[in-house]
Amino acid sequence: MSFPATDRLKRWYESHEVHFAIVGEDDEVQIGIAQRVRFIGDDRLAVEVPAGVWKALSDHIGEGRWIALHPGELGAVKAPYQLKGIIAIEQDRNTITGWFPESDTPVAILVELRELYITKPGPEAGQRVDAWSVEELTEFERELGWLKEENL
Amino acid sequence: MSDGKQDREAIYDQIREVKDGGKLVHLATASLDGKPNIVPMRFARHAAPDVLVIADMYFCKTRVNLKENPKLALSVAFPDRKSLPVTLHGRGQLAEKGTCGCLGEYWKNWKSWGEDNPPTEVPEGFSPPNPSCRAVLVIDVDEVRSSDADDFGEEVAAHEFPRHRQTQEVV
Repeated sequence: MSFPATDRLKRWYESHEVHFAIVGEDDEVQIGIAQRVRFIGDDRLAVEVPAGVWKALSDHIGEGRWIALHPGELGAVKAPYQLKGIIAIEQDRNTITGWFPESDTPVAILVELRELYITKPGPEAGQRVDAWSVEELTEFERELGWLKEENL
Repeated sequence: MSDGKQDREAIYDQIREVKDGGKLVHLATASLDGKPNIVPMRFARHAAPDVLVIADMYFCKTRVNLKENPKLALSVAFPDRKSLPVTLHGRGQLAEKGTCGCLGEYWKNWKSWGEDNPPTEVPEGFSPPNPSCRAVLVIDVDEVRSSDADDFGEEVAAHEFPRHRQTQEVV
C-alpha cells in the first residue's frame, strides 16, 4: 500500500517527540508520549514506548486497535499532520534495537499507517490526504509555504 | 496541597497561556467505535474551577466524536512540555449559539475571544486566516496526570468537583 509520507513529514515526526491517542475498552481516551519514532518505509511507523508509558497504558494499547499520532514540541505548530493507523505491539529486543539503537525501551508499537489528515488551522483543517501521491502532497506543502527554508 | 500534590487551579492557570501565544495543547477525542483523533489547539483557557474551555475554530472530527463520546484528554505540546508535564482527562460538551442554561453562559462569555486575541507569533502559513469561534468546548476536568517519563499516568493534583456540573445540577 502506498502512503504519501513526504520527506518533510518524516523529518518532523522523527525529530520531535510524538503524542499519540488510543482508546481503551472502556471508551476512555488516553494520551501517550513517545520520545522517538522511525518510519519503516513509507507506510509503517515504529513508535518507542517508554517503560513508564507502557506501565500506565498497556491495558489500553491493544493489538489491532486504532492509534492517532501528532508531532509535539514545535512540530505541533509547524508539522500539522495527523497520522492514524493500526497497532501491532513489538517486544522483540533485537527488532526494537534495530529501530531505536539509542533506547532500552522494552516495548514499541508498529503502526500500519492508514490515514493522514492536515491539522493546520483554516480551510485545510481536517482535510484527509492519504489518497494523494507523495508528489501531490509535496506540491500542497509548497503551495502552503511549508517548503520555505524556515519551515522545513 | 496537604498531600503534596500540586494545586489543580495553578496548573489550569498555566494552560491559560495558550491563548496568548504560549502553550499549545493536543486535544484527543474518540468515536464510539474506538477510533481516536488528536489535534493541536491554541485557544484553550481556564474558565472556572476544574473547567477549561477551548474555542471551536475549525473542529471537524472532534465535533463528531464529542457527540458520540464526550470523554477526552489533553496534553501540553508546545513550546515546552517539561514546564507543564501533565495530561488532563475529562468530559467535553459544546456550547454554541442557542445553547441554554449553564453551557449557554460559557458561549456568551467566550464566543468572541478568538477575534479579540488572535495569535500573533504563529509562522507564516500556519496561522488561522480568520479566527472565528463557532462553538466553545467546555471541559470538566476529572483527572490531572503526570506526563513525565518516570511517573507517567500518576495523578498529580487533587480532585475538586467541577463547578460546571454543580451548576448544571442546580439548573
